[in-house]
Formats: sequence, C-alpha cells, structure tokens
Amino acid sequence: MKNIMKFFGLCLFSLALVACEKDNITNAYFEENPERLNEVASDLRKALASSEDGWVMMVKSNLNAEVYTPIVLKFDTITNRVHVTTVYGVTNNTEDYFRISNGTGSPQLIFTTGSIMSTLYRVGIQASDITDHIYNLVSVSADTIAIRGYRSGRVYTPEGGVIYKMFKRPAEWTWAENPVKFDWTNPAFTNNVNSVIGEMKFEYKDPSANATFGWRFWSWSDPTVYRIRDPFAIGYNIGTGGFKPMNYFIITGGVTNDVNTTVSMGHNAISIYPIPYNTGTNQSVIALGTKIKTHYLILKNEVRTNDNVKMEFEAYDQKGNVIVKAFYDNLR
Amino acid sequence: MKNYLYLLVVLFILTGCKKDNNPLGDVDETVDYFSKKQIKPKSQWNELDYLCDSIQKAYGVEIIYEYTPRIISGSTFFMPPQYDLALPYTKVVLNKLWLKPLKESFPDFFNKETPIEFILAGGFVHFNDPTTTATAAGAGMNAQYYRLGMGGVNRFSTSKSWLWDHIVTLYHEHAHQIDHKYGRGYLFDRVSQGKYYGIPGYASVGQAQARRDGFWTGYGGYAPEEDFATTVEWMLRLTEAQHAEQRRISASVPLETKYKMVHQMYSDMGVDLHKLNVMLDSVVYKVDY
Repeated sequence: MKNIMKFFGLCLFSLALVACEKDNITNAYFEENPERLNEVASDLRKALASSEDGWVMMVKSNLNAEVYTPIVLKFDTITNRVHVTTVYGVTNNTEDYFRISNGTGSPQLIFTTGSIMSTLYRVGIQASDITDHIYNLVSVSADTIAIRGYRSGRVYTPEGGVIYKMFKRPAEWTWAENPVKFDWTNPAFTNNVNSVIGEMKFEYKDPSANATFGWRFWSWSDPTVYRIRDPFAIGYNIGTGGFKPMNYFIITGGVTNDVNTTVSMGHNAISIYPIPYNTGTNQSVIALGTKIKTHYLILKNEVRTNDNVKMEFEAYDQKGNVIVKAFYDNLR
Repeated sequence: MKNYLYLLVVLFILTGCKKDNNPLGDVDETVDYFSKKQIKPKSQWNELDYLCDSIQKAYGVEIIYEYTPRIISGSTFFMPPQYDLALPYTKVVLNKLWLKPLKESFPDFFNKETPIEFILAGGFVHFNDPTTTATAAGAGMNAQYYRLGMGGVNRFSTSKSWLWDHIVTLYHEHAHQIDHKYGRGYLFDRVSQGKYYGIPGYASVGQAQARRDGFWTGYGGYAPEEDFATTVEWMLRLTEAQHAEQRRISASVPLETKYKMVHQMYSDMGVDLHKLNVMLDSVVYKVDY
C-alpha cells in the first residue's frame, strides 16, 4: 500500500513538473521585433506605389472555370486613394479609399470606404470569389503581392478567403486606361456598329473549339433602359458604390439564335454578367456566355476603314494570359 | 504517510512556482491586435477626416466611415459607405440635423445620452451572409451603450422626405440604445403583456388596427423593444396635436399609458419629445441643404 502511495506521489510530482512548463506560449517574437510589422507594411506600401499602371487581381466567378476576370487597382499611397478599373461596368468618379493597417501577424490591405471592391464583396460569387474588403498580406515582392480575404464569406465559415497573387498591370493592357472607346453612348462609336449584321470569330486554347458566329450589335435607343435591373446598383441594397449607372446594349444574330440578349458596358469591354432581377434576361445572358465560353470580352483594338469596322477582343486566364481571342468584322 | 505529506508540500510549492506568469505576457501597446489604435496620420487626412475631427471636438462623437477589422461583428455584415456620400451625410444629417441642434436645445439630454461613436453603414445590415439583399433593419448595431450606427448612408439625399425619415429613424435607433442602457422598465412591459403579434404576425397588421391594439405601427407590436422605439419615433413623426388626435382615434388605453411613460422617461432625461418634434421639423423643413 505504501509503495502504491509513493508511486501515486511520484506520478503527481512528475505531473506538477510538466504542468510548470505548460503555458509558455508568449508573444516573445512580436515583442522582441516591434518594428517587424511596420517594415512589412512599409514594403507593401512601396510595392503598391511602384507600379505606375497599377496592380492586377484576377478573380473567378461561378460563370466560367477557366476565364478569370481582371481588376486593375491603382494605389495612390500619398492620399490613400485607390482607383479600380473592371470589365463589369464603368468606374464612377468617386473618391475611394484604402488603408494599410497592422493586423495580427501581418499587415492588412483594407478597402475602407464603399467602392467597387466592397460592391464585389457584397454581390458574391456570380461576379467574383471576393469574400471581404479586408485582406491579409500573404507576401510581397517586387513583382507579386499576394493578398488573402480576411473572411471567407458568410457567418460560421473559416477565416481566410481566396489568395490572390497580384501582378503589375502589363503595359499592353491599354484598355484599362481612359478614355472608354467602347462607348454605346457615343455616336462616333455606334456608327457602322449599331444594328449592322456582322460576324465574330472566336479562337480558343483548344483550336478544335474555334467558331465563327453571326453577330449583330444593337443599341437600346435609351441605353439606360435596363437600369432598374442593374446588378451592381446601390438601390435595393445591392451594390455599395464604385460603378457608374450601368448602360446596356444588345447582342443578337446567329450567336444567340436571334434572341435579343441584353448585355452591359464595362470599361472597354462587353460585360456578359447575369442580370438577376429579370429571369428571362438572366437566362439569355448566361446562355450567351456559355456559348462563347467567356463572360466578358475586352476591346484590345479597333480599326475603321471607310465603313468597315474590325475589333479585336480578348479574355484572360488566372495569370492574365490571353485565353480567348475574338475578332469582330461588321462585313461592310 | 509522513513522506507522502512532504511530497504534497513539495507539490504545492512546485505547482505554484509559475502561477503569476501571465501566459500571454503583458499586453503590448505597440502591437495593434485589432487595428484600434492606428490613427490615420494628419498628412493623409481628407475633407471628411477634418470634419470628423471637428465634430469630435465639438460634440464628443467619433464618426467612423472607414471600416477596419475593429468594427467587424461576428454574425452580421455591414458595407462601408461611399466617401462621396459619407461626406455630405456627415455635414447635413450628423452635424446640422442631429448634433448641433440637440446640443443647443437640449443640453442635458445631449450631454448624458449622446453616444461617443457613430458608424456610417453604406447599405443595410446583412444577417449571416454578406450577399443577402434584405433591406430590413436600418442599423441593427445599436445594442451598445456607447456606439450608434445608421445604415442606408449610400442612399443619402437632400430631399425633405429622405432627411425627415432618416433623422426620426436615427432617434428610433437611439431609443434602442436608451432601452439597453436604462431599460424601458418593468411597468412598460406589463402594459401590453401577452398582446404582442410576434413574427410573422406583425407584418399583416395595418396601422389603424395596431393603434387600436395599443401600438403605433404593426412593427411596434412585434415585440416590447420595438414598441418602445416606435413610441419614441411617432412622438417625433407627429406634431403634439396630431399625436393627441391619433391617441383619441385609437381609443386605446395601453397606447395612452405607454405614451405617458415614455414621454415622462424622456422628460426626466432632459428632452420633451414633442418639443424635439418642433425642432426637427424646423431643421428639416425650414432650411434647404
């Protein structure tokens, strides 16, 4: 019995020794390196400012597995203003702000006021896989800034969204600059394009998928006609700002089996995004995107010779490489 | 046995050895765990930052329009307001309709009951999922003693109807705060006990019926907390004469009883809600913004 008691006693004794070591979790690293966060934040600030044409974030929507949507972000680190250019719509002339803030362990890049970035967060997966307007910095180097959404979506989902590896805007992406040439409110543009029966030739990574469709652009006499169904409007608690009110036009002809399909005007882009507030329109928009295997087409260049108009469009993959090419000819 | 006792003593000494060692170390003020103390440097201030600074100095309210993780709530989602709308909203609604006239006309109420933080929300509250589009619950972040917030800032408009509706809703939300702070009272809850409509019952009750039942609106009949807030709100929506007339038409004793309770409660805090109605009417309708 005595031995058993001794044995018990020794067991307790050893437990006590182990217990003493148990709680040595400390913030020693952070405490001993208080300048660390500031240094990383400063690296981020310098990197953001280093790209004159801005940084590109490639986001994915549930409309297409391979075509990613570019978001061009230009950061002014003096005034903390950010300018966002996208193919979803045309950017409004508002002041949008960002901030670099010390988070836990890594700095955070935060789009602090209502902008396209918070609108995309708000709208959800039909537009993009953005799940926050607050991002943790994952890594920063001269040519890549990796950021990750702080939250991953709705309540009770794990922390941390998609990691975006932002790269510097390629110099040839002049479509992201002003002015918007692909402008359905401008008669100089719609001339010889509106209502003309032309064609669009598509080239894909897999050449066997290449196809040419009859293609007719058609303008609503009032391009604002569908604004009540604007998928990013501030009304109806949908968007949180950043976009100008949407303008619309029609794509029809062989490509849609002559179904008039209302699409919207992005920044030098055809935006084939769902219009969820009208079921019929929504279905035809999704059908068009499925048929041509992309949900946007960016205008790369336009050549006008007398009445002939040729336009070259493209769409990108996750790394910003061209994955879809489209050649429009009005056949005049 | 004696050995065992010695062992116990040693054990106590050893287990006690590191007890006062805070496992996480002392709180280090230089590490900004929640971005709380990160002040925006003055060199980066914009017009709204200067305005918010002046308002904080004049009225003691910190206005928050830029969102950082600090104001994230666990289960509800808010979207930051657009800068271009937050600026005129702060100028007109917060400064000219809310804080300035309140401080001048009802200094006691202003001094004691003004929150020290005010958050601007661009859209409305999104419960559980940021992609939901329900427009219910203009603010929903007002169950805190020190902080008030309003949704719908991105719909800011200088139209009289928008300004009027927004400022009385602000006092409605503020009433929730007063309710949480002091309690609407044991007796208030007993007046219409057992008669609340609940969800979804309240949605199908018209205003006239609700008033006969002792509530200012169907929504006011949803639950005691909304009953209290709508009682405050309708004293501000109606003039004193209109209010008396509505009470007469309703012929509801509970409506009259709760009105007297709330009117007295606010009077004790330094504001006669009928006089506040006159003041709000003058700042909204007699001035153009």
